[in-house]
Amino acid sequence: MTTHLPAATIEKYAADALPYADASSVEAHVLACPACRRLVAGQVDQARLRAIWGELTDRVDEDRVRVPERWLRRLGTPAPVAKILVCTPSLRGSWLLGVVITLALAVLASRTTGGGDLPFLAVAPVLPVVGIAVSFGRAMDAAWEVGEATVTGGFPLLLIRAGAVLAACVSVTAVAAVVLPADGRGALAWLLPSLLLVVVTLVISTTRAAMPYVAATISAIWLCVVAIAAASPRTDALFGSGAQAITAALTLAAAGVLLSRRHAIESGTLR
Amino acid sequence: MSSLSLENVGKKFGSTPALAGVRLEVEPSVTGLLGPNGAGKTTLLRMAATVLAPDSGRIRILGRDPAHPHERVEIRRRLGYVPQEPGFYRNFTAFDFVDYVAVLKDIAERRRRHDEVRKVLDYVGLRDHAHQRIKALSGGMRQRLALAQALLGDPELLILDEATAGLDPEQRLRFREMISVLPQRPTVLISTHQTDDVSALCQRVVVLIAGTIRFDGTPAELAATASDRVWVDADRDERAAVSWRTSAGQFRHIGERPADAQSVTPTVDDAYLLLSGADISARSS
Ligand SMILES: Nc1ncnc2c1ncn2[C@@H]1O[C@H](COP(=O)(O)OP(=O)(O)O)[C@@H](O)[C@H]1O
Ligand SMILES: [Mg+2]
Ligand SMILES: [Zn+2]
Repeated sequence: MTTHLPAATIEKYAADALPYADASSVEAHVLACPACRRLVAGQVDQARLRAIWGELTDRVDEDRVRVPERWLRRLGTPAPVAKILVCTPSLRGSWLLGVVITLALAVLASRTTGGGDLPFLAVAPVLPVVGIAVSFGRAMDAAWEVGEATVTGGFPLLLIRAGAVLAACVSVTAVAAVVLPADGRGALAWLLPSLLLVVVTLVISTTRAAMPYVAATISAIWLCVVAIAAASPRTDALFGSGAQAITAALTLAAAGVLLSRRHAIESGTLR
Repeated sequence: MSSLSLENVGKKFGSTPALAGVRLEVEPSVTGLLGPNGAGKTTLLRMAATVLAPDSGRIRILGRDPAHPHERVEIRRRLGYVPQEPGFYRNFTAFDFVDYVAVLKDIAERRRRHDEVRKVLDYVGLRDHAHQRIKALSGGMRQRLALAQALLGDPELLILDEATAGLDPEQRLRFREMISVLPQRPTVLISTHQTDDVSALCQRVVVLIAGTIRFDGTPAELAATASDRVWVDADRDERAAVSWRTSAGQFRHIGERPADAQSVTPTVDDAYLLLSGADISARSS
């Protein structure tokens, strides 16, 4: 960058008389060259300078937005939400990889052990529960206390993160379910139990119980229930269409309770 | 109106009381919360920052009740908080991290948010490190980063938990300067276990020991509580509660002054040692 801006160009730029492309290249040069910046600053009026400078630094900041955040925004996520999501511990690559491996093992077990899709149906609903438990609160979120003291702290932050974890888990699980052995229950039998377990976990977390414990307990209960159902002659008791209807009703009821108790949810908060 | 008011506040973790019967009114000024480790400073500041609820008693922050959801949001809008262990996303840049907190603080419009982020980073002297990853920043810079996020949105109440811990003397001076010349003059409540912070920075000092408030007044008044109870001697005096050899080579004694000893002007340090030292001996006996 040895050639500085000619005085005539600076004058025209100051008078706002340059075509857009030329003005842009002046700005690009000025951003990198303190000498010309001073010359321009001497000629352009202060208000306009501030406006230009604000826009320039903004553009530079924008270029530095990290890759996952940019993808999320391209997918239509509002920018602030995208920002929060990339700060969600369980949405990190390592967590998602863990989900994928667990599901792969469950699919494998479903195809090889002769138990039909039961291993898969047992495991899939647990994943989002665990994911949400580790996405919120002191254990996993390095900056939880800073976040907690902001207006988004508590329920709003939990909802954004839980929603994102659920969406991520459901997408991955839906893909995995495609390769399940078909035995008439339909590939979506895991979905409602997932939702129910997530919502129940959140509801119980509105009491004084810490979310990781709640998640572990709920998951354990669920696995026991599936084991009992598996031992009985009719596993449809748990995944058949009648059971699905009951699950849906329970989920709705639990969601209602959660909404009414939303102010009590401060799971990141110390008690 | 007081910025923060605690009425008979108590908090237990298990069976150990962390705070007991705390009454405190914090007015707009810089107030130092002084106390040894485990005194309950963090517990108190967490309550003031709306992230911890008391077991008993009443708290009002900026005239509002933090137990009430809507009022709590109103408080959080006006609050800046540096926890004792702020915690960062280490792979984020300084700019990204503060920008994230600005998002959480509901500064939605990007241009305004970025302006605000730049403003606070400038204020704490991190402009040139804004796009460096946090894991590459020094401890002192991280402390300033923690302060920067707290300053977003010009808070009316600024709560700083041990914000000067681990800083070298020059950094401490810069930090005190930043706190004392904040343009909006917020109410500042800062905890520390170092008396020099208090004498240098605070208009008011509250001494918290074992979960109860043992002193509340100006630093000069705190020093005065030790008047007539500090003396200097060439030799160690067994009758003193606390004594140590000073840089001048003499022994400085604190405690019940013997009639034959000449008392000297006490410092905040003396008074604090007397308060906390008396506590230590009371507990060990
Ligand atoms: N989350 C917690 N769980 C259990 N005990 C705690 C917790 N926070 C604080 N304590 C206890 O409460 C007392 C006061 O702690 P703290 O408020 O951190 O003191 P300080 O900040 O003055 O060092 C200590 O005995 C500490 O062990
Ligand atoms: Mg502490
Ligand atoms: Zn140039």
